[in-house]
Amino acid sequence: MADDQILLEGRYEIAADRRLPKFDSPGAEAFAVNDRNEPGRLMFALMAPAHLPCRYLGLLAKRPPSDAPVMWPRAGGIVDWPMPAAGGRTVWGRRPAIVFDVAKGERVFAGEAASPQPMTEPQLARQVVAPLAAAIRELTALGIPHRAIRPGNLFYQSSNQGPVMLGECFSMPPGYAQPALYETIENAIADPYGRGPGLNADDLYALGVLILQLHVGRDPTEGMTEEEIVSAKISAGSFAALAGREKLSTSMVEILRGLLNDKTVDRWTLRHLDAWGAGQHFTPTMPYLPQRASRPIRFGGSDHMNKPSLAHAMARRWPETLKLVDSSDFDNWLKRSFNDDKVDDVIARLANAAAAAGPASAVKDRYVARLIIWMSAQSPICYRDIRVNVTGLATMLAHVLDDQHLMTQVVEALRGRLPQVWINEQPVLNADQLQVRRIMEEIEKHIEKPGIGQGAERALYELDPLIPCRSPMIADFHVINMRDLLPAIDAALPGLGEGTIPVDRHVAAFVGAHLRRSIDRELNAIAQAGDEADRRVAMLRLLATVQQSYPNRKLPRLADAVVAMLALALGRFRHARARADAEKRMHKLAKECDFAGLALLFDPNGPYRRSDDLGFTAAKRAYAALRREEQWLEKGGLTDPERTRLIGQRAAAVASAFVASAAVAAYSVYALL
Amino acid sequence: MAKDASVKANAAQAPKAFKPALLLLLLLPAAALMLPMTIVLAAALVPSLVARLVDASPGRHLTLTVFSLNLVGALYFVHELLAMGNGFDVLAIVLRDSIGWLAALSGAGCGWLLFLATPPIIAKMAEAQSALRMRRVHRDQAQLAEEWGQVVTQSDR
Repeated sequence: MADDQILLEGRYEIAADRRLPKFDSPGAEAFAVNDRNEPGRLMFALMAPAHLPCRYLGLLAKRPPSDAPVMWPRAGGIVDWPMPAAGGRTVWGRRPAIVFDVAKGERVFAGEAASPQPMTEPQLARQVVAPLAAAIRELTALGIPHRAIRPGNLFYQSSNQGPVMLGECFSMPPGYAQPALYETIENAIADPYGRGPGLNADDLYALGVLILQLHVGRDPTEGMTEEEIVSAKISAGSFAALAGREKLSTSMVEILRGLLNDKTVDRWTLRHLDAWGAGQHFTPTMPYLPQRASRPIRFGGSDHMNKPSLAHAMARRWPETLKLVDSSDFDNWLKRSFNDDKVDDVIARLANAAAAAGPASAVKDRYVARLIIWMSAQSPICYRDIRVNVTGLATMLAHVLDDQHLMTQVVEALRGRLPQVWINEQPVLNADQLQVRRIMEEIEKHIEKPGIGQGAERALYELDPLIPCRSPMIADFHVINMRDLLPAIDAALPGLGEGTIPVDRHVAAFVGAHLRRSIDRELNAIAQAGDEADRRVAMLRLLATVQQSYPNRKLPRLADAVVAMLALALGRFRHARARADAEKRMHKLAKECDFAGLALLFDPNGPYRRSDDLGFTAAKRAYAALRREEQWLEKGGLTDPERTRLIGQRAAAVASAFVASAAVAAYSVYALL
Repeated sequence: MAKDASVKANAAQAPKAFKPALLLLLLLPAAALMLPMTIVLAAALVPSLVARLVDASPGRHLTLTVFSLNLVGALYFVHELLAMGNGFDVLAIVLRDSIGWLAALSGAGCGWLLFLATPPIIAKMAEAQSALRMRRVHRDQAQLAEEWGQVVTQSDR
């Protein structure tokens, strides 16, 4: 960032100081863009939030739709971006940016409310149904649900009238800004961050609501709260709840009944829409309604005549629900109102299952959550303040990560195996849900482990590979690829305090979820390290593993941090010369940013440390022997009078015997001669 | 079989005890054949007999020391006897030679002195050796502590 220029793909200059509020999307701010190749072209960039997965970054490999009336990004990626820092300073971080052409037409509705002018059926068919069906068809072919079909996200294809087109849907999680009115029952119940990618069928549902709203010229649920809208949809079916009081033509009833069908498999498809446009008629499908109770139960200020309706009310009033499930009224209602003899068995099974998995402190919460899943299998997972679809767990967890209260609840839900329970209750699973089932199997191995790289953080990164690493060190750098991890840490280190350890729970979990091979051995080494020095060496091994998989030797600041981190481990070399050699070698390897070499140098079971340890053991033994010798000498081992006297006498005897022998021998020789 | 072999091996390794009585018994025929020589030596080696009587130490070092040098001194008598014909007739002449007695007794006295003087000398030498060895131990300890740190001086217990 020598010249503070923010450049995407070497072509699109994003002006961080030129906001374009009229192109903002909910949750994403728009900024002016200059195309270097085509100066003067009207463009804008949406800056997606740094803490959430950016949807478009997962779609970069997809070819753009040919000529569909949908606002499709011209480019997208992660760019350098000024971030507010402590003390009012601005530091450079990285944010996902999506560049769009400015729509040729104006926004159809300035706000989220529909125009007061009702559109006729032919107008709707020509200006809305046909273009949006074409857009949905293209997106379906690409396997991308739009999930942002609402009045506020519609543009005219040109000027300020005529056919409309869909606005963007890539800057925020799917369905994030959708009003409950435009969402299917299960998505409307879920928290906006936890709705999941959904299906193209959800787009058709939203299209149905849009057609209705544009046709009647007002919000059909005006004055109703979100909860009332969802309750009405559950109890009466979406069509009856939204269009039941409107005077509609047969043709309109036909299309709305088809698109607003609450059962996905019975909902109209694009084929039906095409046929409807061609004037073909269909036998209206009967609305899917839950089993009706013989008597109502009063809860949350209203009467409920079916289990899903009560389950929905229970999900929104957790403290009252905990009391309700203990009441005899609730038991009686479940047993007698549905003529179901097996309710007792089911409840006992749910209670036992709730006690079997998850933290002991939240057994009752889990029981209620399981009860809600049983009462309304289509509903999202509801646990205390959390309502989330299984496919939206990733964005939900990413969203609540900094909110300890909600974070605890999500983690408790995961530890209580509620997603698995939900999945097992479903008669059919779509592709996304099947994938979540596989991911949950992986998460199950880690969620209960307290060590670094495990637990909630690991679950976060396992759930969605697009979730950026949320380590406090590099949260501003929006790291979603392993290749960028070490460079990001390297870039972040100058702004961090002295002695920062470059591996934390998030970094380890991110590596664990993204690396192709298992790093359980490395994580176990960190968890089982006997002291801080060994722990740091184990962390270094993790960094070395990443560097081996994604070679990068231009990490001087990270290498310096590693050297500082290893100061403790250097002390583990006992031999002074070995320590000096290790220090010299450490600086050499750090200069080369060779973390694998450093890890080998400090590995407790590596040749250097092993040799030092063996030498130390021998030295200790030698020192002990010297001490024993010292004590022996101090106690008169050599100078003991008894000993010296004996030696002296023996010496005298030997010397005299020698002299005598010599004398006798000499005399014998003399005598013989 | 293995036990027998072990017992035999131990027996083979055990040092054979010196039996002076047996030696005397073996020397008896020689002494009988050379009786004048035997009488002279018996007279000259009386100090050794005294030393043996007062020597209660297990190694009989005093006896050996005195006997050895007493024997050297007695060689004068032996020489005179051999020079005069080694007969009973010269026995009295030889034993009356005061120089001979001086030689035999001086030898025994030197043996006694040597026995008394050696232990203090050895004690002094042991002290010097102990000091040298202590200095080497301290030097090696210091070197280990310097190379491995003070932790090497700490006992594992």
